[in-house]
Amino acid sequence: MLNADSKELVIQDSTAYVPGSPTKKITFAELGRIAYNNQSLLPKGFEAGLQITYYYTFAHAEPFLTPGPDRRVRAQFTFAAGAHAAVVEVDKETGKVHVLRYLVVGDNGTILNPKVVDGQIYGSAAHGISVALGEGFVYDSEGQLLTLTLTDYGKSSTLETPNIEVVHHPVPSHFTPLGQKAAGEGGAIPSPACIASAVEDALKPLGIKVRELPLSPEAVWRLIQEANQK
Amino acid sequence: MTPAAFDYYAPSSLKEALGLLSSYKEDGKLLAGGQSLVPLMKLRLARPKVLIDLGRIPDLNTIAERADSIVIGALTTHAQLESSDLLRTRCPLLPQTATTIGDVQVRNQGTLGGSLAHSDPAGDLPASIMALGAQIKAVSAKGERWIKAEDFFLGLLTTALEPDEILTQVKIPVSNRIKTAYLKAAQKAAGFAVAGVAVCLDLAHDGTCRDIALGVTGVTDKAYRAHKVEQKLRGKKLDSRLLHEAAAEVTDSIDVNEDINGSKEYRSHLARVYTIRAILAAQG
Ligand SMILES: Cc1cc2nc3c(=O)[nH]c(=O)nc-3n(C[C@H](O)[C@H](O)[C@H](O)COP(=O)(O)OP(=O)(O)OC[C@H]3O[C@@H](n4cnc5c(N)ncnc54)[C@H](O)[C@@H]3O)c2cc1C
Repeated sequence: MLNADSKELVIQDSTAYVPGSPTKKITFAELGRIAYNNQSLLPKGFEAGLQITYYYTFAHAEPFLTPGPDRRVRAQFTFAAGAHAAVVEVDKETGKVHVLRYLVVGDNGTILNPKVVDGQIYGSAAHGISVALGEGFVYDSEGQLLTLTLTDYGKSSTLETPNIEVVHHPVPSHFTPLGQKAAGEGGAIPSPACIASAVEDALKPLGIKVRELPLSPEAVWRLIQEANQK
Repeated sequence: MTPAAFDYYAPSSLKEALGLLSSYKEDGKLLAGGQSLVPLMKLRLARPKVLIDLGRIPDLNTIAERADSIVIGALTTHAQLESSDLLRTRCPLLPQTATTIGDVQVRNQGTLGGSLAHSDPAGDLPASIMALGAQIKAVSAKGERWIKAEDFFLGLLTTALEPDEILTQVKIPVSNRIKTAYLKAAQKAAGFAVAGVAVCLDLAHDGTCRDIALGVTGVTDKAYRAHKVEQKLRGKKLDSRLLHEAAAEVTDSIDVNEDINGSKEYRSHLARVYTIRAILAAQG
């Protein structure tokens, strides 16, 4: 397109150009427009679109997942870490749990796109809270599934989902090229345990231990009833 | 999730609607807000051959004040009940109840008449209509009649309306002495009542209960009046001990529902708790 040899090209500031030839110059944006929208300007025989596929090989992968001398296995290449804290209020009469405050400190390594990472944390924590407080498959004595629709499944809506406060504490990974770790599961995994612990704490005077989820209003009410009978 | 095929009519007068209803009989179904009927049609639990949309009939969604009553058109939406200044001052129980129904979209579409005619065992408005001692007007090609709220709900999705009748109005006696409240334990997704209690309370200056009416929903196959509880409270001062004693009878001789939202035992307990809470809320 620039009638230049690829070796002559310099790529800088989102532009490809030939030094010393002011007309031999094209910005990435323009290149993109041509590659996708005006293929007639492409050199003959050149396929439309701009694509490249590259497979990154993780340097620290363990080929056979066999435990080392310390009896550990590196099953994942990178890990995110997070800590969750919840303040809940339990209605002693009905067993209903209200989440008053919910905090997440996340270590997702180097954050590449903050909005996406926050979205992952909000979504996964909301999911975990919902799992703790209502979601579940319920079967009747004949084995018939009773929770067939989202109306019955017990998923929390935005109305029951607390505002999730996020603090980032990124520690770059030594093992990935950009120091990135992961997001998503870091929000979903601790949240059910966090809610369960908060409910135990709220009901501490009764000495209640939560052994099962979901903590539906009736389930919590039953725990309270059992504790009161002791 | 697609309804079976149906024919659609949008009559522009009540007379025309009654004519359609009497010619199609069981094959015809009235459509108001569609918030209960359409989901049933999508699941093909209802397959009406003909839908008769009431939405174009004029004057069915007005709220009018009479000397000692308020008359509300059947097509008045939950959102209209919620925001009506007249109701807020003269009959706050209806706005108090309507606010708790479903979500904004449902309240913008769903109607008072549809809610009563559908007689959902977990619907909110039936409880309040019972507590208010309202009367329900049923019109057919042959004539019209008023049905007492207490005689209106017959069972699961069944009312005293005949197949050729249209519910057109609800008349509610009002008095400035009455204090009201509606409270419910709500199902998680849709917000229907697991147990809901509506209270109309007439208290003397010294705190004696002159009169009380309690409408209960979500608990059995239809909304009902908790007469036993009312009797225990009438003429008495409502202290905490008496309230607990009386509320204990709210599900006496009632066949309590059991489903994924609550066992019989838990529902009965909720009915007691919400009876007390609703009375306390009405007292203010
Ligand atoms: C997501 C969701 C959440 C909801 N949550 C709640 C809730 O929390 N509490 C609650 O109480 N309800 C709830 N509802 C139901 C809602 O209140 C409905 O609007 C109401 O029950 C039916 O009113 P409608 O106007 O939509 O009636 P439609 O669905 O149009 O009709 C219902 C039935 O009544 C008949 N009918 C309607 N109007 C008349 C009339 N004038 N005369 C004779 N028959 C008539 C119809 O033929 C049909 O059989 C919810 C609905 C949805 C979809």
